[in-house]
Amino acid sequence: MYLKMAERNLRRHILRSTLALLGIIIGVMTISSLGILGSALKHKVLENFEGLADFVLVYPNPEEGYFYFTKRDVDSLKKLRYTVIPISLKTDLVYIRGENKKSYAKIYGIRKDQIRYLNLETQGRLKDTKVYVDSFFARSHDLEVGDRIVLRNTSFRIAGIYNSSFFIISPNSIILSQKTYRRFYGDNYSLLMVYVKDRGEIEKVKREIERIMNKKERKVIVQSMDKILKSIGDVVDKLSLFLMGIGGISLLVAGVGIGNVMLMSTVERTREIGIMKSIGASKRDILMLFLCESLILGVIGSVLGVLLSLILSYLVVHYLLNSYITLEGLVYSLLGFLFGVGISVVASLYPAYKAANLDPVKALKSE
Amino acid sequence: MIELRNVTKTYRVGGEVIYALRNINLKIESGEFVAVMGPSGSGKSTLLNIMGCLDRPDSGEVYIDGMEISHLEEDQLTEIRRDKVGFVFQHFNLIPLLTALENVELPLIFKYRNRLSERERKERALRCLRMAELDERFANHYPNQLSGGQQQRVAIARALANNPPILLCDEPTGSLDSKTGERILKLLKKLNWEGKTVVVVTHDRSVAEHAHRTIYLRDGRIVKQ
Repeated sequence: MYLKMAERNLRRHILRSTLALLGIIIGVMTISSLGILGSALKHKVLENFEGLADFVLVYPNPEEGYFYFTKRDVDSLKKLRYTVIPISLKTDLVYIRGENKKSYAKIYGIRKDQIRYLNLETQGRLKDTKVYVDSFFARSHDLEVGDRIVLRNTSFRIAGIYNSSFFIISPNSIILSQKTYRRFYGDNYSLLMVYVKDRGEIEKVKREIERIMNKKERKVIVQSMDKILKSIGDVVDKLSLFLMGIGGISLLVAGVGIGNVMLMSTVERTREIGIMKSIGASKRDILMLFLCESLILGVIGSVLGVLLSLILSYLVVHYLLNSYITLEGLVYSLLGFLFGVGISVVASLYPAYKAANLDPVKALKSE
Repeated sequence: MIELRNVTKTYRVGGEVIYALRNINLKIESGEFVAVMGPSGSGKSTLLNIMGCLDRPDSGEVYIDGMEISHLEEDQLTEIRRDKVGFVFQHFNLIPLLTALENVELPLIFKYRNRLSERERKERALRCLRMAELDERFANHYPNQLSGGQQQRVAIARALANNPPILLCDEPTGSLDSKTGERILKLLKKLNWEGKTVVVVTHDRSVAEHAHRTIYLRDGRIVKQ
């Protein structure tokens, strides 16, 4: 009955209720969509690097005069009994026949049997006579799989095109087999990746590497991706939290709107409240009646807000980010829903309290 | 049934103290039909409000069905008002959003909440409408679809909903034409005959003629009984 009366009261001023509703819808939608988008974005960003979290990266320390590792360095790391993936890097000119011009590119050398660790998602297999090129390089020179490029007067067929990820393999790059690389540029390595399957052991492995390599001087810099990934995640989290905060403010404004509607309603219905008190309504009854009204607004507004945000963020996440809505995002939706309902109820507390405490005699006299 | 001892009630209007009631002593027995008359501003409505626990006296004692109420908490007053008293107003004071039947159900909801099934509640409300001699066809009409007389019958049915022993009527015929007013008055007499204690505040001398007893108020004092 409370609900029935509340519903009819809201219908009585349908325009006013709709506007109040709209405020809640927009607020909840903002919070919920930003939450969903933020976590989808984080997921997407981390997904790109996720494969790297299993590696410890060992760089030569240029401050001590080390720019490359040698075969001996690689061998000494192999004592750890983890897979060591040496990666070589030089910058060189590449001749593109179709355009008849030369262009600089980063040339990586990786062992053919270890290329799978990089998750490059290329189709053709790397051979000593074939290369991979990154999508940026391919695009800027209009190259496709099967095309040829010339390096050091040797022609190579492109076996695959990969997306570079900044952390290990930079954009505008070419990957050769280690053997081919050695033939052109000699036996040097710019980065040693150590594959640690069990992430719990990463810290231990890092300490071991430091012990082996940095005996006399700080020859190497040891990094692991897990920390970097975590800090990227934190940044995205903070960003989406900040955006959600803005959503929260808009919801707060909506709450003020609801409070205003309820307050007007209290004033308009003073006489009605007096009548109800005279026929035996307690303070609690009046309080409930008003809270029910804002609860209806809050629930309907929040449900619609969440639904709209789901549709909206599905479109954005699916078509723009090429990702999917995460469970974490749905938690933010739920949060937005609860916040929407909560704000509506809190905003109407004062009007409801005021209505409940009206003096029945005075209320009955009012017109 | 109702007893007032040395009841005084004042209002403050802009620093000036106005006596609505001065030292009222009054006893209304169970089953009585009492009319309260007097010029406007004589304190009639205040008297009714105090008898109906809507208002509290500044001093003096008020007994409703044997219970002293002037010191009670607001919630307790609400309960007494709900269980012992039915109000009938000049302007009917129905809730426009609710149908005739729902208006009558309202006091039942305030009293029983969910302890009464919806069916039983509707049945009781219908019974009250019948007691108030309103045709059942109008049960689902909204107040603005009813004539003044019909609305007052709904209001009376609502006052009867929780089966209170006392009916307090503030100018119940004031907004009705004389013929309809006469019928409403007959209804009140019938209810009185069936056992309700009825107090009617009125300007209308013909209303007072139906009463067992008439109390005249002037300037907050009883001048004649």
